[in-house]
Amino acid sequence: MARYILHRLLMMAPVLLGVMVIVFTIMYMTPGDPARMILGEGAKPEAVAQVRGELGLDDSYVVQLFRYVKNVITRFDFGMSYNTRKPVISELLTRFPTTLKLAVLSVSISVLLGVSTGIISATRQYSIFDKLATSAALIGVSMPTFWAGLMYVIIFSVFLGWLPASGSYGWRYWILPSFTLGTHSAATIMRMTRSSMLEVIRQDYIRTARAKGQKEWAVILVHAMRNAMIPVVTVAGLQFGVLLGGSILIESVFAIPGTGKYIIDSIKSRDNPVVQGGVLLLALSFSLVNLAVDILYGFIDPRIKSRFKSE
Amino acid sequence: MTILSAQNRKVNRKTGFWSDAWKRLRRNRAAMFSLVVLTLLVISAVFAGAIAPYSYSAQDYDNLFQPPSPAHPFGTDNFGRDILSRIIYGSRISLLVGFSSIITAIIAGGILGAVSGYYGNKIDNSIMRVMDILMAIPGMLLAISLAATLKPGLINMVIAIAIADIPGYSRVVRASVLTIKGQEYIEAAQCIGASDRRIIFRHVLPNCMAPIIVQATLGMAGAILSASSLSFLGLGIQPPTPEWGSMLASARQYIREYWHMTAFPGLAIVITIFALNILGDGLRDALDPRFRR
Repeated sequence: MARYILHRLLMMAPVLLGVMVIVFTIMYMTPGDPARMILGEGAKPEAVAQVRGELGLDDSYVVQLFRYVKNVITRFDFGMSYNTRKPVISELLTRFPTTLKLAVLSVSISVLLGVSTGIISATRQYSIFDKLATSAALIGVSMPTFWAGLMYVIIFSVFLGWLPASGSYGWRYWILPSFTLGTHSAATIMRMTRSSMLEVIRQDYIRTARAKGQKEWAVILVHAMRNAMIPVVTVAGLQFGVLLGGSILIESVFAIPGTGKYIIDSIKSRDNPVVQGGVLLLALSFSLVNLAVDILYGFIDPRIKSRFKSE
Repeated sequence: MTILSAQNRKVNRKTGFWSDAWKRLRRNRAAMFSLVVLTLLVISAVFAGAIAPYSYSAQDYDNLFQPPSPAHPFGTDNFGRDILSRIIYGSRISLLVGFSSIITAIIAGGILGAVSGYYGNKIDNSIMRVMDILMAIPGMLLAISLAATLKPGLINMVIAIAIADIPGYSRVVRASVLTIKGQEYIEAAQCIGASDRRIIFRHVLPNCMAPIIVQATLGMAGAILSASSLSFLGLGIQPPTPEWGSMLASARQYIREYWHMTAFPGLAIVITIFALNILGDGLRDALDPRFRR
């Protein structure tokens, strides 16, 4: 197993390096002079030239790229925020736990809701429950998260007055945002669980389990579930990426001071190093989650584990 | 005898792959309903000028924030503009962005995937590693950072969404090319000396159209969603141009007082994406009999 994890980690390194190059290049192409941005309108040309020199902006693209990648890898240095003059990494890390909390809450909601309704739907195919759940999931997939969030605000805060609409001051503030994101990806997970479960429960070994007198719940939860979960885990891992993207929108809708909202605010104030670092941080956590998913495969599906043992 | 064989040939042609798929799709009531909804949407987008009851920019300061009424079925906004008319005009942008970004992504991703799958080895490796890197960045995040670099606007939004979608298509096409490549008729084409370009465009790509069409229908739903998200964040279409996402962005400040400003543009998005998703599912069932349940 250690070998397998090591193998995946080694495969991740070039991908992350590539992500750094792409993110740097995107931000490098952004129009506007960062030195002018720092000094503000009406700065003297000499001062601009001096700041450009200090930031190394006059160097070629390749030199700047290498410096950026080197700083990130060796010192975990993402540069300085133009607005606050503080290291980007510390600014990001103070906000990251908020985003992580939102993501973990939403993933928990979506997996619990999606897997359970998916299993019930599959075991009672074409029942009323199944029809309602599949239609609800289709509508859920079709709803933009930010609009769903706004509608929940209208229903639960404006009309009913049950929950606060925005901010993050206590647990009640987390209900609407995590519910919004969670139900959205629950829809995808439910659809995947249902179709993969339907495929599995038609197989011979399930009939064998039933024939030997195994209880129905054990057939579903022990025998069928383990095989049905492999594609579901993949989708859940990919949904985490969708959630990280969605958290940008949801944090803006609910005014949650997380990484996502920080990135958007920085895009608007043209604070490039922050945008660069933020995108990199989110892509890194997405890759780590995918790595975790790959490792989880090994536990669910022993065939994958044994393949790496024999090598 | 000759008459009979001619008739047979006619029958054979009628049950070709595409007419067979169309026959299957026609039996799917939900998919046909979605097709009708989407056709109506396209018609309303094309003839927006004739269908919309008001101009999308006509301001009426005596009728600000009007709730839904017979005169304004979806109410009016903060400038007294008719929300229904703005939604109808907005469908132009959403459908245009959705369609053109998917076409761009299919062409670019399709060529990359086809080249990658057909040639294999080093070319395949280098193309697919770049795609892996693009896929390591969550799609929405990539689109947001691209949109932030490019100036806000229609074409740049299309570019941002298309680039974020390319890896998905290249993988789909590559996978189908790999299965097609091993078949005899490709070998036959190679034997009679057809060029690689001819084989890819005349023999390989037409045969992987089915998964591309399915992915494109579902992808268009995703593209419309991304477009409205970017506009909602202020990185896409700028006001006063009517676009569903930017309508929602301006409705946000009035969310406590005027629910109708938020509800209707969002419903337009939901209906469009819902129809595309159902049609996509239906097409997958119709085009690939293996998926049928």
